[in-house]
Amino acid sequence: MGRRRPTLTGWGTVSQAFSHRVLPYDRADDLLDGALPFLREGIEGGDRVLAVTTLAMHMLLRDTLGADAAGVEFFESDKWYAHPARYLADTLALAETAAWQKRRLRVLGEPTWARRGRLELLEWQRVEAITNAAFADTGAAMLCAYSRSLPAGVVAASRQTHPETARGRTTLANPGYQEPWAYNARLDAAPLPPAPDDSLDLDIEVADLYWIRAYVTDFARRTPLPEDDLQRLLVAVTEVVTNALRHGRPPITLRLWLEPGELVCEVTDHGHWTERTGFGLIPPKPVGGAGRFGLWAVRLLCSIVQIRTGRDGTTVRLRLQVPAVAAQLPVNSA
Amino acid sequence: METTWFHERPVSEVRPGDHGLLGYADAEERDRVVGPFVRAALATEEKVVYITDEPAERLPGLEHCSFDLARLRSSRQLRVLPRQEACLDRTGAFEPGRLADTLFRERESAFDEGFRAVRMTMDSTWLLTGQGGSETVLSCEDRVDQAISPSTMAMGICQIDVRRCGTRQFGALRESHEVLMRVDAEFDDGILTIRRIYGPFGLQLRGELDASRHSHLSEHLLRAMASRGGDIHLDVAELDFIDIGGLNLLAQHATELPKGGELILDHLRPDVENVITMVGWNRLPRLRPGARVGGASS
Repeated sequence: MGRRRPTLTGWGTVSQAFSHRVLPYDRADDLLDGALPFLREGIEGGDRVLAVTTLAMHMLLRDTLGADAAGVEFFESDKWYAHPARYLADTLALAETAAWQKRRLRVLGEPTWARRGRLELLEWQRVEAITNAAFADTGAAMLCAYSRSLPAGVVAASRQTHPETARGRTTLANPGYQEPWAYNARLDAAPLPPAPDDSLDLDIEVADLYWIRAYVTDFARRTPLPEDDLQRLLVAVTEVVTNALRHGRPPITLRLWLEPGELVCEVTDHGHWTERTGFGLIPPKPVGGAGRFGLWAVRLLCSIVQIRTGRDGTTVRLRLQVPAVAAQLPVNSA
Repeated sequence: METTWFHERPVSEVRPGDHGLLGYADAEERDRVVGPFVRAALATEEKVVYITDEPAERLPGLEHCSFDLARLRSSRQLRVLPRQEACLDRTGAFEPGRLADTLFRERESAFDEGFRAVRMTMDSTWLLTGQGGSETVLSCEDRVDQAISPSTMAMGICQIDVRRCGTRQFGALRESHEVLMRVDAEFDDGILTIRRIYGPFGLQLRGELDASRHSHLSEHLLRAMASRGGDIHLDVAELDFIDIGGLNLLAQHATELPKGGELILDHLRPDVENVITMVGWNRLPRLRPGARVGGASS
């Protein structure tokens, strides 16, 4: 591809093909072997080039690139990959802006996998898969470094979520690659564990959500949820219940409970979603994208959003992180 | 909102003893306060004392009204007193003692005339811009207050055109009045209140906004947009909640503003602003944060 500059074919659309490759590595040298040609190609081609890795890798890349390092913007993985939906929104905005400026966004990324809980891990794998759908029209080039020291499952999954593997300067197709929506559906194939018996349940019969917010506030105030996060929870719950009232089928039930480190709020109804885009996984276009803006916004506001929909009904489970507390609070009494 | 000890009162809730200040930013705001104040009195057994050099039929609330003004004046229910008669000396200079005497006299006679209450008002802007300025006004406020506040049947509104007096002057006046007069809310169901504001022009939103009340907001926002060009301010200092649909609605209406116009959210609560920031201001074009909490309007 070399120095060929992308050409603009329409708003935010670049003719240069989008690429999303996994770069598995054992040692730093392996990473450099794959990353350096990738970065250099971008610097020479006039791309907007980002290196999102650890601080140690920043130093190594700067040393090796020498003066070329000036053409690379460095960011820390821990901050960049802090929240799945916000990461997707921010990075996609960068890719679209670059495309609009007739440039290509090129990202060497090293997603953070350590210290992630099981559900968080799944959400980041979902993001890797959805990336193939979300960035397809932007022409962005993304190279994701995965250390082989990570749990085997993480590296194996990366071959299902990246169409290609980079090895040095060569690129190989991943035979196990899965279409993003199929991968997404597979992640959600397993049913959610049932809500605990002692969850606080409320059947929603009134259309005025003022009272539901008062109820949720009352519960949240008896948990360690920081006051600042309460507003996010209220906006998210209101959105999900509004959707259920509009598009779902009664009975609609709201359940609240605490899990270690998380406040969980679940809304169930007897309706069934059909549209796959209704899951709010891809940020809508900034202009005129009012349609399914809501559920996508819910993902931005919560730590994790889990959705299951089928003949038995629809469940949307919102999870917000809460600071750890020593003793379990008696949230269902008082 | 800020650390004030006085009350804000919508005009329909004015009560005996209220000595209110109306700082109006334009004629519409004045008419929407003084109009209902005057009309509510004349529609019942209350007396109106209006100190002005304008003819009665040109006064707020009396223009194009269905009242028989001549009859109301002969029954002394409507007292339109020229300044010369009410508060000026022979040379035409303002005489605070004379104003107080006039108010006392009108108040005392109201009972004998068979009225259950008396409402008094005057536009005091001319005093501020005249010789002595705010000192003159402040020197008589005390006496005016004595004519109204202790009474169980008197109510008064001092009108001030805020465009013609400085912020400091108005601030001093605020301190000499217990009650700030406001226009009545356009919508109020106990959960959401929508009120027209004038300096800057727009709407004050109070309470919680979600899908149950989107149509009401839409209606009043469109009305405000139709009546003026340019930016529209939303004072959201006391808006405790706005849902995603509400933000969408605001952004949608913002695009309908005349070219270059913006919808400005003043005094956003930090937790509400945090939600908007997280969703992304870039997805809400022509909607932007304005004055900060507790700060002045932009």
